[in-house]
Amino acid sequence: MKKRKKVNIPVLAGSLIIGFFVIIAIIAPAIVPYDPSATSALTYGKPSPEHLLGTNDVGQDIFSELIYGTRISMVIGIFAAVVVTCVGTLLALLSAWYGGVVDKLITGLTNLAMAVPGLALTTLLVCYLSPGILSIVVAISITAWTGTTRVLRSQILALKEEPFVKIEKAIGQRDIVIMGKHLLSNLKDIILSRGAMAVSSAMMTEASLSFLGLGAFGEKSWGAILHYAFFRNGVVRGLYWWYLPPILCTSLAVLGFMLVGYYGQQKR
Amino acid sequence: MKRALCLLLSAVLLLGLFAGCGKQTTPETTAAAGTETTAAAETETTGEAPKKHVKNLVIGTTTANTTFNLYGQTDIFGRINYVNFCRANWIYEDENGDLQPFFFTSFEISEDGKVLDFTWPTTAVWSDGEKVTWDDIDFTFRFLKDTAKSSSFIHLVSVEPTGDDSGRITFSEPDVYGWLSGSATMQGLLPKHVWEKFEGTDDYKNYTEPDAAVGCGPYKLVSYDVDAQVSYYEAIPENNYHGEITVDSVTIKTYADQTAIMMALNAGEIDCYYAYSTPIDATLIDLISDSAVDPGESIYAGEDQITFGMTRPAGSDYQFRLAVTKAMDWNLLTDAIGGGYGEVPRAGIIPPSCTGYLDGLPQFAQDVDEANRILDEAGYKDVNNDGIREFPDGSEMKILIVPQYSKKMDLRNRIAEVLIDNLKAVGVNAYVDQEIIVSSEVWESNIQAGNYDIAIGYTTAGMARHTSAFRYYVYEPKPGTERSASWLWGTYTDEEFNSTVWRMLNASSREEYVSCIQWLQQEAADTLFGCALSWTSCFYPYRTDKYEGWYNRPSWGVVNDELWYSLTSK
Repeated sequence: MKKRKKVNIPVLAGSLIIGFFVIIAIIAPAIVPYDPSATSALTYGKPSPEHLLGTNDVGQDIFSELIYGTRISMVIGIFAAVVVTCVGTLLALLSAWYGGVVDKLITGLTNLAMAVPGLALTTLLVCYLSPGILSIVVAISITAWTGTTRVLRSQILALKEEPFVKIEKAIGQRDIVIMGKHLLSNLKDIILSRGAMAVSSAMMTEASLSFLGLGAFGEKSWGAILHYAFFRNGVVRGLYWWYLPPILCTSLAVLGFMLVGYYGQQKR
Repeated sequence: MKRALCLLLSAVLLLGLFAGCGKQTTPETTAAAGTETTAAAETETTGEAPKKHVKNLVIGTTTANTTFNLYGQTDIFGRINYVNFCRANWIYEDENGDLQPFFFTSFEISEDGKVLDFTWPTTAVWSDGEKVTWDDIDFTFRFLKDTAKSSSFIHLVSVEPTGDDSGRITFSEPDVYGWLSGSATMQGLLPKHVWEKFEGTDDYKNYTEPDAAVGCGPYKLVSYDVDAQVSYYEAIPENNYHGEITVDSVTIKTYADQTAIMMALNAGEIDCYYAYSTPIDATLIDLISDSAVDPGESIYAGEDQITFGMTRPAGSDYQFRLAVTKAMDWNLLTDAIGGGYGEVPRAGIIPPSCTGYLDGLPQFAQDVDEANRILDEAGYKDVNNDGIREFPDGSEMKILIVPQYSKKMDLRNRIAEVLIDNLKAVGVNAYVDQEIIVSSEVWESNIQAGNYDIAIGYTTAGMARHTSAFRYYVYEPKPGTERSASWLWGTYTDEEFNSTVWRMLNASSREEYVSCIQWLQQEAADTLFGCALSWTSCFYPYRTDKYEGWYNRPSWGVVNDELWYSLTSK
């Protein structure tokens, strides 16, 4: 009798959430009812059939802003996560495999980077680099690689002592082949999990920076929607249709990546 | 025996306690009692009903309560001194824009506009108890000219006493009216015994020792708590320049933001709000939940405005400027800036609350079809059929919009979003260069170089009072000064325009000022070198349940030069 494979519910739920947002981001131009930058005379409009989530202080349709915001948040989140994961993995490989001075240098750098408050440093970097998507990605990448490096380094140190790695080394296999063929293949679950966690972290950072007003001019991200909702006193005036949707979207998307990242690396 | 000793000891303790209670009076109550006695004594001789003094007026602000420097213009101490608080300014301006005596108890300008004769109060005292003397007056003018390098005193010739309580100031040019109506309302006497140590240095700007706050205004700084962001002041009855001081003491509390101010007003924690040129945001007025809170609405003298880059291909063309004003959604701009409390401006830039307002100029209105027609006729056509117009010579047209870098950057950015969308509707490609608005230095260097097609700026109520919005359109420096002078943000090089702005700022009489500013409004309407984006109301809310006699001065609110003498308890 064939054994039924157990479904990892949290990962499935996370994947569905991520899939939903990815699809929204891809088809955004086709489903937005209005150009998110188009202004209108209807300012602070309440939700209505014409404007599902109402309008903001310059009459822009909040639902359209939210849909387009998915693109910005997902692009920054995924792009930054790819960079962070690649950098973190590369440094972990170099550090653990070569040891000695290289290890000390990278470990020291990691400890130093971890000692600096991430968001504060990212904010400084964005200010220095001038606001924009690329600046945010660069700033996040510079500050967020440390966790991945530390986790992977300890795993690689353990793998280094495994017989199959020692044998490869003994027969004179090239380092790059051992790293690619044996180490990375054994770490792929952890790398993917760390990558998923990095996306959620990057999305949160992006939302924080945009909320602080460090996004690019006219950018329609979830953090930017929230920024203007606060700036135009939407929160104290109870305009929940303006400030709640970006909060919910950010939370849900982050939850999706967290579910995949956290439960994805646990044994089923 | 033991019982008798106990009784004796108790009696001594009780006596001591009563004696202690009798002596334990706070500075606030002492000041209040003293003033009330004065009021009662005055009443006996004049026969008028005694004024019920306000014991302690609590003012809320969002400006920091950290530095207390009589010359300073930052923090709430510097800002509230604009309205004759701890500093006695030379004169003040009333609601009609007329100059009224303050430290100068009377003043007269000579016919040629070069000489000012004035009288001053010999009874005035400094807050540290020293008497105000002629030496202080003489020192202040020398200090302003030689140390502070105030541009108002470039042509100052002499300051001389003409009697025990009178003096004369002589200029080589007719600068008296310009100085009085310009900076004299926000500038006052400095104590020689404190400030003489700074002659010839810049150190006075950052001076923060306790005597830095010594002034001869109607109030003195008693104490402050920087951590709690609170400062306390008491009246100096001798310095009653404008009559009997009816507010005995003042507490100024700094709050994190305007939302907190509104909550504090509703809760009765503060009596009124003051912040220079920073009225409560119109979107917060809905938060008033107590009927005793008056929103303090008045017409604002300042405004948001745009300046066209008159030295660049698009901005130098009147037809383009006209088309832009036709394309703009004026109602949306007024709503976005004024939160529904404003009106679409007219073409003369300055609002009706400014001195010399010229009535009857055309009011702006959106007309997209007309904008398209004007652009078509002027040759701005979509040559390559991409939906975007090109310059008449066929080259690519991209309109650079530069919002002013400031604390209110978010609002300027929102205005820019509206302009970009409005221009897009008539086929004009406009954009904001992120690199220009990263810092005030980068922004200003671009503005001074004329690197913009449309600049979005702002005139504060203080600037609007005399200097006016036209100062921001000037290209030529003040005659006799260098081109590198600050605030030369305009690109309108027309000689008559530039000379008229400087003539207005140096007007020797109110008539000359009005004549100049009216010419400038007409010029703005005729050439459209710039325009206001909205004329809005402003809000300085206050509570009406405890006190009466509030006077809500337009653009300034209830905390103004007259408050200290008019407010009484109910």
